[in-house]
Amino acid sequence: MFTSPLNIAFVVMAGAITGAFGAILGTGGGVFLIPLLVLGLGVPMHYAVATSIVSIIATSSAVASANVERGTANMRLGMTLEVATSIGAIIGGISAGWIAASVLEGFFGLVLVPTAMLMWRGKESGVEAADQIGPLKQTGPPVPPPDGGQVMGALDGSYFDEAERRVVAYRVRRLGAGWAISFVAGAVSGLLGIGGGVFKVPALHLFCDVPIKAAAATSNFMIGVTAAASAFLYYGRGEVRPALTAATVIGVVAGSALGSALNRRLRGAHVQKVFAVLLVAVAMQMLYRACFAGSG
Amino acid sequence: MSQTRRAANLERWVQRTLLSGTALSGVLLVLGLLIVFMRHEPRPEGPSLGLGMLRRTAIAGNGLSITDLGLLVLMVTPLLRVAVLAAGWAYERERRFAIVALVVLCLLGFSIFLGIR
Repeated sequence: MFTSPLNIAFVVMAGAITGAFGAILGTGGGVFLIPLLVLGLGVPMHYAVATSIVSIIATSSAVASANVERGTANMRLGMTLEVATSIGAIIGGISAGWIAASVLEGFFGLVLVPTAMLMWRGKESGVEAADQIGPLKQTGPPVPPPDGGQVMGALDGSYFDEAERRVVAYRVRRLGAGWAISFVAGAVSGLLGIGGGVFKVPALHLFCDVPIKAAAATSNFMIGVTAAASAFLYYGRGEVRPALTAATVIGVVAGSALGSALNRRLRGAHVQKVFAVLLVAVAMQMLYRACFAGSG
Repeated sequence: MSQTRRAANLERWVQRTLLSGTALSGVLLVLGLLIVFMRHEPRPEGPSLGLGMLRRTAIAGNGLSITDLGLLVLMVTPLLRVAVLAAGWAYERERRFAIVALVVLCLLGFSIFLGIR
């Protein structure tokens, strides 16, 4: 399965491509990696899922460190939602053995189609929302509220958008919706080995009013913890294959560095459009697998 | 120290933690993978070795054990990042977020307990 230099090169390259996409889109790249490993290299599905989960940790750690430095990732919001994603990921990881993945994959595909449409037609970059809350325009970290203030206020954020050449400030709204979708994202991540960014980025952007770049960065920040919450379960079952996973991770880290550099030059609206197309592609893949191919 | 500077310091610590974890695991993964293919080590199936055995075989130069150790370092990195944020927010007296981080830490600890017991 994984002995020839050609296979190793393929795995490293697959990791690099998915790592680059993950960094740009905040998805973690698992939605591309698993089909590449299973269909391209014949890796058994459960090993591919485990490999994907560990490589997601690598992507998140590498990209999140850059996003934290730039202030794009909202750490307070991310940590608050990590409670939900971690619970979901543990439940998903435990359930992996006794829930038909094809049922969830079909549901996943159905949910993604309207989400992609909303994403395509949604706010251009979140800058509009920031413009409407002028007093929040500032540099530096968000100012926490006085004692007794609303939790939501403490979760507000701001960052410098290099493409727009301006500070973008935003107010986080509808935290409950973000929490609920983060839980679902964690459960799907634990079950299918994807980062869950396909749920979290649109949810943060469309429901919580977080600008798309901050949503992608915060999602990427969270993805590492989400993946770690289920990775130990896969590791304990012996499904994390050291050599295969190591080659994938090396490629993913290299690719995510490239993707992170590209992300700095892309405008928010472009990222949003690309993400909408990605969602449609993943939805088709999931629906096809659920209807015709089974879960492997 | 101003709030802005404290926040920047915390961000720096988080960044250092993530980078150190990724870098250390990267070194171990590359080194382990090189040894695996230089020595043509077989790939045993089944659950991983225990942590004690893993450490001993890694020190002895077993490529797969070094790779496995690199993967564990990688998997623990997000956990360390959460611990750094919990400590940082506790130091800044942001109790609400320190408690949230501790809850996440407990959940990750529970996952480790379930997976590697």
